[in-house]
Amino acid sequence: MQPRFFPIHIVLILSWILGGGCKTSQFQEPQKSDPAPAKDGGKISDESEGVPGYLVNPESIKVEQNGNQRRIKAPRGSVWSEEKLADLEISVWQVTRKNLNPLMKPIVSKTKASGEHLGSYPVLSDGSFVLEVSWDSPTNYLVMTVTKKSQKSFDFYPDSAGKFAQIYGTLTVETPVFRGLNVGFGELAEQLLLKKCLDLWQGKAPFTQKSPFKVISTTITVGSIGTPIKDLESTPGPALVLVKASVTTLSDTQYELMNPNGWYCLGPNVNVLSNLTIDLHPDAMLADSSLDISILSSGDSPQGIVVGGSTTINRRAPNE
Amino acid sequence: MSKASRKIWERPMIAEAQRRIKQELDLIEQGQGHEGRLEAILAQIKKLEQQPSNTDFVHLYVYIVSALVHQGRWGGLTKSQKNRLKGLGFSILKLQGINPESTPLGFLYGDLHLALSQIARRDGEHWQALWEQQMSHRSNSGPQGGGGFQALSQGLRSLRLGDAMGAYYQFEKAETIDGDRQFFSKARMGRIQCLRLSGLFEQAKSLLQETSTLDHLSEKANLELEWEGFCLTASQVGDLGPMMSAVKLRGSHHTAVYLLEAFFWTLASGQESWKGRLPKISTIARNKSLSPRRLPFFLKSALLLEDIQDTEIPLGFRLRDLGSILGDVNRFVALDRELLFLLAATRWLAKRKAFSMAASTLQRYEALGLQLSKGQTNDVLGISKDLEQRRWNQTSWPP
Repeated sequence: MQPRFFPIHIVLILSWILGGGCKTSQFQEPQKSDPAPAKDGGKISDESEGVPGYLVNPESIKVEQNGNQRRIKAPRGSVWSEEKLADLEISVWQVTRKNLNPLMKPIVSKTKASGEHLGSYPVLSDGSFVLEVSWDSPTNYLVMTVTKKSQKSFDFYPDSAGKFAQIYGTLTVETPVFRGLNVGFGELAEQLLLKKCLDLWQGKAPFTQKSPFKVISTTITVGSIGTPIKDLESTPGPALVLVKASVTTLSDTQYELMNPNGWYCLGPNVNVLSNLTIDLHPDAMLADSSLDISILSSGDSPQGIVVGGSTTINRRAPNE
Repeated sequence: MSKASRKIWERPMIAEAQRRIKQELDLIEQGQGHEGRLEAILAQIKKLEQQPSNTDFVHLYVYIVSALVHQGRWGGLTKSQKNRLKGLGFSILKLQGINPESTPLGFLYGDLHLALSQIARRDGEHWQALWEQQMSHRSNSGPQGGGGFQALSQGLRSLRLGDAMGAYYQFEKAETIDGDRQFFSKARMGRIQCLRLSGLFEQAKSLLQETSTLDHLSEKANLELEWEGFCLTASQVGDLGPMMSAVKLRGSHHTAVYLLEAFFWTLASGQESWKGRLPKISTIARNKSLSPRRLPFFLKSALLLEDIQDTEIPLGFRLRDLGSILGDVNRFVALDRELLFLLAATRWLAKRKAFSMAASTLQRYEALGLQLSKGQTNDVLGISKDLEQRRWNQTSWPP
């Protein structure tokens, strides 16, 4: 099959899961039977089943592997669009790591990347889809995009807001052109981001991937002033915090990360067209998973350090 | 609310709000328990009600459903709080212009109905529980959770209403759909109970043995599985020994729920020699480490069964108190507790020569058994055969 360019307006990166040789179960919901400890005095048959999204986790996209065959099943509601879902399709691409890299960064202008088209599959009327691909490359990555059936190539411009669908529940690379793209990460993606941050801290962080963590997130509408992210809580012990702003903004943004015991892990998509200023407590730690930067002490980040071109970190105590 | 503001409700936004709020509440619960979780939910609702904006309505809705789901699992709301939140939840959806059956956001009604179904189940309103659960599936996109989840929720309600066969197939469906194991333990336990409570002891035993070889069950599920085995032994051979060993101090099942069930079994089977080997129910009620408080009605009924043994209390008073619980037996979350209670009451009543009352409770027990077993047996627990021989129970029909 000839390589060809494919649109990057919405991209699902399954690569880490499929390419990294991870087990299928890592991509699914945790197989917890019960949230409560074993001897909490109750019987599981007495308990209510909960409501997905509240006491129990919602459905997630599942990947089943059978030899080289991967069956990817997305539950209803996975694809959301103001347009008719029947007009959309899921395309699956194989890309190299080199070509994947641009997709992992926030996209600010017309962007294209090359990949091998493995197939296209319909989106059902309830927003679910099922696709099966034969794929066994250990070095390449699988990427899914949502495309319009009639549109085999796509030029990416910021004024095409709100025209296309979104898949959520896994890591997505989002762009400022899609209004309402406010769900960027699934649990798996969060785990991957945290792993990346923990790697960046090089074992100095007092956490493992299984440690509990807090998520700070907000929805920032394109072009708006944006909702500032603030973490003013001061915890008695080390606290792992994942910071994610799902949609980039055209305006300047400021974060206040003021927990002296905070280990802040910044997700991607946090900053694109705007200038991002992070006010960080002098004792707090920070890692940026998208820029491969970690800051472990005040000495690592003198006042006003500029990171990645448009991010500035100021070390300051609360109320300074 | 303007049309423009309504458009802000999109599924990804709701999903993100759910995720964020669930995470926040899970963290609070880790530190402050269920009570802290509910307090945090109510505080947020109060705050958001005072300063509603378009985005806040999404959060307000999610917190409201969180409160109702919490109520279904752990309780804590007053009746008026529950009704107010229910009304507020539906009002918000209406305000947003969301139609339950013709918009992609109709699943939000499904979430509300499902939460209300769980509350009804907890309150002993089992028909209402089934109805709300069915309503939750009627929205355009259905409730979240998928086919397996829906089958599980229907199975739980059907079994409690006495439809063991219908429930069995729902549980089976829940186990197999999508190969999803998220609800496997509950569904498998449901299947075993359906068989046991239909008097199909050998089939129940076979499924139980097959299940005990699985390695992905939680410790809690394995405990309950063992318990099912003790119940089967009690039903099949009338031996309460393994059950009583398990609930003794430092035994594998020394928690309130199993102690109370064992107590019910001793009274229902008439093997009162075991009764003295159990701690007093009033002692269990005071022992916080056994978690008795999560079983309010179960505990209340067990205390009653203990109290009515006290011959110093006038028989009339004891009969009156027993009647008040008998009128509420639907409040047992589990159907087998209702069966055990009815039999325990029957034996006590017969011993006090209240034969017509005993005949009534026994008749209710047998009717439930016939319903569960589709007419195969009137003694689904296998422990009431001796009562058939009693003279007060000797009637013939048709006359």
